[in-house]
This record gives sequence, C-alpha cells and structure tokens, in this order.
Amino acid sequence: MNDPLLDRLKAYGGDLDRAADRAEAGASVDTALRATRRRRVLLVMIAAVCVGVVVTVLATNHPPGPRIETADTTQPSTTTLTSTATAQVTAHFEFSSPEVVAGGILDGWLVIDNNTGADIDIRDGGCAPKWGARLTNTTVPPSAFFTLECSIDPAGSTLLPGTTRLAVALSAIYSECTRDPIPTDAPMLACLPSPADPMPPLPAGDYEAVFVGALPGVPPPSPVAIRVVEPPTPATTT
Amino acid sequence: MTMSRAQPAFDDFVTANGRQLRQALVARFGVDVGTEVSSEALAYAWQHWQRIEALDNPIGYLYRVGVSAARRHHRWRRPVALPLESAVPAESAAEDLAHALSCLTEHQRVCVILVHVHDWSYERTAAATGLSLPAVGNHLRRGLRRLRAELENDR
Repeated sequence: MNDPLLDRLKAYGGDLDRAADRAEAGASVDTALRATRRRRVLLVMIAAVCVGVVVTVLATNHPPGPRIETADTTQPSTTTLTSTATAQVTAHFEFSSPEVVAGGILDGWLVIDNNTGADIDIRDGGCAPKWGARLTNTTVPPSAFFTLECSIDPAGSTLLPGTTRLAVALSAIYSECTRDPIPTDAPMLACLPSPADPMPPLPAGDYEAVFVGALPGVPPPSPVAIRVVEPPTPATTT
Repeated sequence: MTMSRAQPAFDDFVTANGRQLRQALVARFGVDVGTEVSSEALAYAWQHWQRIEALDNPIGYLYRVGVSAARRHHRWRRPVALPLESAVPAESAAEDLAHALSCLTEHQRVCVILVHVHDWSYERTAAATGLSLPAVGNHLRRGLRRLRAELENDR
C-alpha cells in the first residue's frame, strides 16, 4: 500500500541533492528556514540594530555627506581614540563618551586617514560596504547581521586622500532575541514585549567596541573600551 | 606514498563515496553546514589518505570527522537549513516537510533522510553513522511518527 509520506520523502531526495550541489558551487540555498521560522519563531534580527550601528551615511570627502567631516583640521572628539595603521591608511574609532547607558546609543565616528595620495575604492563586490561597530566582552559575542541587498552609492564608494569621518552608532543592546518559548540551554534571550523595540539591553559592565563587517582597503580599527552603565533610576517623590 | 600514487585512489574514493558522505552530513546538519563539513572531511581524507585508505569503514570515519567539524557551527545553535520541497502535495505548503524534518532529533533526521529519502539500507545507514541496527530502526520509527504528527498539525 502506498504511503503518501514515504512517497513525499522519496521525491524530496532530488531537492536535497540539488540544494547541496548549489551550496557546493557556492550559490545560496533557498531553504525553508526563513519561511518556517516566520511561522514558528519570531527571531528578530534587525540589521541596523544588531549591528548596533548603523552607518547611516557612508560617504566620503564628497560633498554633501551630511554626517561626514572631511577636514584634517577636525579635532577628535572627547574620548577614546586608538588607531591601527597599515602602510598608508589608518582607521580608528572616536566616540562621544567612554560610557553608554544600557539600552542606549552612543554616537561616534570611524576616522580614516588616507595617506596614499589616491582614491580608495571601498565597494565590496561593487556594492556599498557593510560594516559597523558592536559592543562585545567575554559573555556577549559581537554578533552582527547585515541585509543582503546590494546598494550602490557612488558618493560613498570612494575614500579621497585625506581624512574621512564616517558616522557610526553603537547600541548597548543585544543583537538577537527570540519570541519562542526558551529552552533552558538556549543561548538566545527572550525579546522584550515591545514590538517596536524588542532587543534586551546589555548588562552593565566593561565592553569593547569592535569593528564588524568589511571595509575593503581599510584596516580594521582597534577596539575601544566602553563601559555600559545602568540607566539612572527615576527619583521618587513621597 | 607519493602524491601521484595517492591522487587516483583518492579521486576514485571521492567519486564513489563523496556524495554519500555529503548526503549523510546534510541529513544531520542541513544543507549549508552539511555541505561545508563534508568538504572539510574530504580535505581531511586527502591529508591523511594513507590512514583513511586502510580503514574498513572510511565513510563512517569521515562522517565522524564531519560531525566534529560541525561543532563550531553549533556554537550559536544554528538551525538546520533544508531546501523547500519542489513537489508539494496540494494540501501542503512548500516549507512543511523541510520544517518537519528540521524539527526531528539529529539521529531521527539522519535515519529518515538516509533510509527514506536517499534509499539507503539500514545496514549502510548504521555503518555510516556509527549507530547500531536496532538504533537505526528505533530512530526511524520515532522519526516517522513525529514527522506524521508534525505534518498533521500543520494542516
């Protein structure tokens, strides 16, 4: 007697082999993962948030980059500054403060000095590069998720000689959470109830702001020490 | 052993067994991870070909190499990614079967996929995965039961 499930499984063999062939050839595999998770799991991965960052504008010395400062005369902002140097291109983070409130956002810059005397193409395979900064320490991994779309931004595809400051926002929140019932050994945290802002805040403590993603032609900047502090408790009146 | 002598034997081995090894590892870890670790296992086989060639059950050995290689992928509990079903029964959705398979335990999924999807015998499945024959039968029975329940629930 025919068993529909067994027939279905047998027919599935071709799909599995073809998918593995495509994966071996380097192509992306269209899996059921996303579709099923949409139904069964709400795993919130917000690229902008997770990266904790968002590089709102990736531009260069080209005017009119709204958050780009191009001058060598620009004074570094108040705090942390470290640099990694290769031959003629250096990059370092500058943040407006060494502290950020748990759940908050710390604005900063990735400052790139291009001393090569020539333009640097920072496109990644022809697309605008995807990068950002994340807070990490021994218990919080620097997870980052980027969307797969290829955006083309001619103004933001080249670093001119001189100093370029790219805006970066460092979020003191986790990069992923789930609305699924949490098994006891799951590494993922439960999302907050708010649908608009579901990521749990990072616990207070010492972290490092690290570069995530890729910016072709630019050495990754050194990590910068950042402290996450508890939000101030509201004053109570009696 | 020189490379020139090893090369044809290794090539023959990959031609004869590479696909099976990949099928077993894809069944266990999904397409992305399974394919990757099966390549890693074959690379390991090439590096240690003299020893692998002499083994009675090289597929079983390399399957365990692949399982070890997959540990790092599990660090963040990567879900098992299986392809959508192309021949979908009218009353089902394309993701149903893949999702139901991904919900099985690793051993259940391996046994169900190898035996019922790829038509492996119980003996071959047991040899490749290191499970005993009764264990293959048990995983298969429980896996199919759970699969039916899962697909039934989806309707």
